Amino acid sequence: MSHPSSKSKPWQAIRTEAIESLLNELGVIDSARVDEIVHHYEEHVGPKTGAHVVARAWSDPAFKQRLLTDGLAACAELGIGGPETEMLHVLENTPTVHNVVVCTLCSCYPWPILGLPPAWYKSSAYRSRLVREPRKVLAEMGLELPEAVELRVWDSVAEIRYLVLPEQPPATQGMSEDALAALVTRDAMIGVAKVTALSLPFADSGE
Amino acid sequence: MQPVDVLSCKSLADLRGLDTFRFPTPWSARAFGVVLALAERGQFTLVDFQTALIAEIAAYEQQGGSIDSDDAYYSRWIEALAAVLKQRQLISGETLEAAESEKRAALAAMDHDHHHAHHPIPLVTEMGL
Repeated sequence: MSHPSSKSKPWQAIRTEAIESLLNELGVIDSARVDEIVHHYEEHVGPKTGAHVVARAWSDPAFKQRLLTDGLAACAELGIGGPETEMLHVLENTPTVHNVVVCTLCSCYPWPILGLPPAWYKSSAYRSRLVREPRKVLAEMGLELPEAVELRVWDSVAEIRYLVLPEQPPATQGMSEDALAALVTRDAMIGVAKVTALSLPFADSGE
Repeated sequence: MQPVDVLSCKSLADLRGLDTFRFPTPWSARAFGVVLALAERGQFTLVDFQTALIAEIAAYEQQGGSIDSDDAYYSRWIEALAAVLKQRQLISGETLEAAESEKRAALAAMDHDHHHAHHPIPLVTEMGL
């Protein structure tokens, strides 16, 4: 591997390296711990975790009730939690109400449950337009909602993160939890898509 | 991941190409990890960091910038980190600037060595006929 060239090395890389070196010198971080955190988020945290929560809710009505009452406590039952979520509010989609989540100020997102937010979620376009014209934005993203369906846009803030509990496709009744989880997409848990019986598994599943 | 200019996008459908399950660059991964590691050590809370991130994003957008890529987003993340470190008196602006200059100088020196390594000069050359 060749040495990075300062000409091609972006300022962000230089600044980040400088910060990390200084913090190591100060003894306030340990780069090995930074490695572990990055690895954890890249390898172990992702929307499959949320899909598992949704599949359990679809299969177990009592769990679903607990999830809707206190999302964080119900997720903790499944061993799911993390530093980013202080309060998790689960929003149930129904044939008459559709929920969709945005963070208008930055990028608040239930990381421990959905992994890293996609770039479009953080984009100025999504953050500003979803509030102004939600139905149109969803249509552009491929989700056409009937006019009769009530659309609720939720703004994530520091203390509260939202997870959308998508509607279970009728054709999937009786399927195993694992099979159901494979159908649940990240986009459906943000509310910009629905789960269909033909949904493809996660794009990242076949590393 | 394909870089997409959101301003030129006709619709948000184009934005879906920006999906990512990975950190887009090594530096964004480090910047992310450093923030979580500092929060874990109690140097600041994630809410403190988020407040700084909101301020950086708002300032950037007010100046006409658009968060239209992961790079644009994580650049604001780094600015927010530098701001919090300054605020907490962990790293001053001057100290950071000096450390960056040092890194750049080291890289420039490396470039120089690298240049030689790629253009080795034979110790002896015997001209043929």
